[in-house]
Amino acid sequence: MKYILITAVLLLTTGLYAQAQELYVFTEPASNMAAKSIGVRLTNEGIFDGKGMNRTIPELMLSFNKNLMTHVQGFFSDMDGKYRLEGGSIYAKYRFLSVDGTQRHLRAAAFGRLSSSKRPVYTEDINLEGDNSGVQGGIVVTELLHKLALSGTVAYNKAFVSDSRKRIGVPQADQLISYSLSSGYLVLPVVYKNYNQPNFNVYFEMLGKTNPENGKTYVDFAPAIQTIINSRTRIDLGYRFQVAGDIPGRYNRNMYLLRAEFNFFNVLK
Amino acid sequence: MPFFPGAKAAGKIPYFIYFLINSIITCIRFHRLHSNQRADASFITGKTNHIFMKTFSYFIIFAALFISKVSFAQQITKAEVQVNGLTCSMCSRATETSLKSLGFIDSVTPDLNRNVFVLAFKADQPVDMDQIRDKVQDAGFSIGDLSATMNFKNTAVDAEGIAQVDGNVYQFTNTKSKTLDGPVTAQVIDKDFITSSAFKKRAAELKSPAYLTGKGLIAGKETRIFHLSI
Repeated sequence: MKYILITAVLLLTTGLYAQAQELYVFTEPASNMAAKSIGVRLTNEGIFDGKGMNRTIPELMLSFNKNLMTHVQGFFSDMDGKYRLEGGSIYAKYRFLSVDGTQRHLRAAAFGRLSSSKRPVYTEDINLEGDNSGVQGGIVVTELLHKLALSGTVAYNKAFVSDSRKRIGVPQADQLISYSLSSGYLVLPVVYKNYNQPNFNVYFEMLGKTNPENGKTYVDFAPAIQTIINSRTRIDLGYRFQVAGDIPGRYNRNMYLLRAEFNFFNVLK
Repeated sequence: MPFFPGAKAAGKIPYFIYFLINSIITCIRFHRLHSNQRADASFITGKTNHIFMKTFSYFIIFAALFISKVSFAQQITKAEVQVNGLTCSMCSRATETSLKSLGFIDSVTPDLNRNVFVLAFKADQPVDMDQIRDKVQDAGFSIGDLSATMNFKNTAVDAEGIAQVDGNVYQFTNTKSKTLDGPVTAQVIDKDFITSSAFKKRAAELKSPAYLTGKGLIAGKETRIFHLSI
């Protein structure tokens, strides 16, 4: 509760004097990419858990029209010894609500994900970006209110646990509810002059999951910084850490993330 | 000798038009001849050889094409589009790239702080304002205001407030029974050219089915009608 209060104060105060941005690092906003555009991402996750592990996620993003876009991801890691391809994921997002005003908007979108992973199951946590096979469905609402932007996500995660991936003594969760609250703001430039000015954004996100069967919960805080070069290329650096609750054996409890994203607007026919 | 029938009346029409028509007729007659006849075509005086004549005729055809293109007077010369729902320069760049894909747009000049894009149009292509709206929406945003600079040439606005120019039908909401001449800045107030709340307000004021749909019957045909406020 204490953390939630601190966060609410943080979100409100940062939002009041800064221009909000919604290119979140650990979650996706309800807004889509521009229609007929392609984005390419390369993400590296460094996990500080015992020996230290790395996961690399190449990602292709396509937007078919103003409402529908998709992400295709591959997962490579050294988490089970040798660095190898461990799985992939397809994510689609459909924007069903869009209300625009001058420098403000409200968007809502529904999303779904289908993931596959070769990794054995070591934890009750379900991470469909590399660790588990499964499906996810959820809703995201993003609001930009002049200088304050907030985004909230709620999703249901269902893991496919095959017997060969089970490990004796590890409790199996096959479903989790995940939720997040994100905020971001633009620090630089204070006044725009042209597209080539680098933008500098700061983000703060809260990420949580709950197992509806046994009530096990965790909440992470995830601060991040971002720079956007030439209004086209985005570099993210973030760190997430657990502040409340626990689900034993989590991989992404203490994790940094480094990402480069390249956008190609209006290139699809 | 000239082949234009009304040669003696030439003084009454601008000389270059007389010259052009005369040259075109000469060229058409020349092209109709078989090649063996060209060399001694009786209407080509003296030593003019047919290679020169051919070059000259192509020049005239190109010139005629050029002049006919210029005769399409671009009616909408400029538009200022204020785009709603965006604050970041990446979003602006996506919007600008989307707009630039339209063939009739010559240039896009953004004002990143006001989220305004100033559009300049090519002189020889008609402007389709609905496509501008679609491209802004494709980028994920919407038009909050589109004000176009329109060049009218003694255009009559009838008692209903309707004017027709180059196949476009404009319904003026605040002017009627008037002749428009010269540049006029007009705001397009149709759906998705203003905020949805402003549209609802206007719809309640105007109480017009054509305003709600953006379409109406003009000379018995369903036609796109742009509603303008000047």
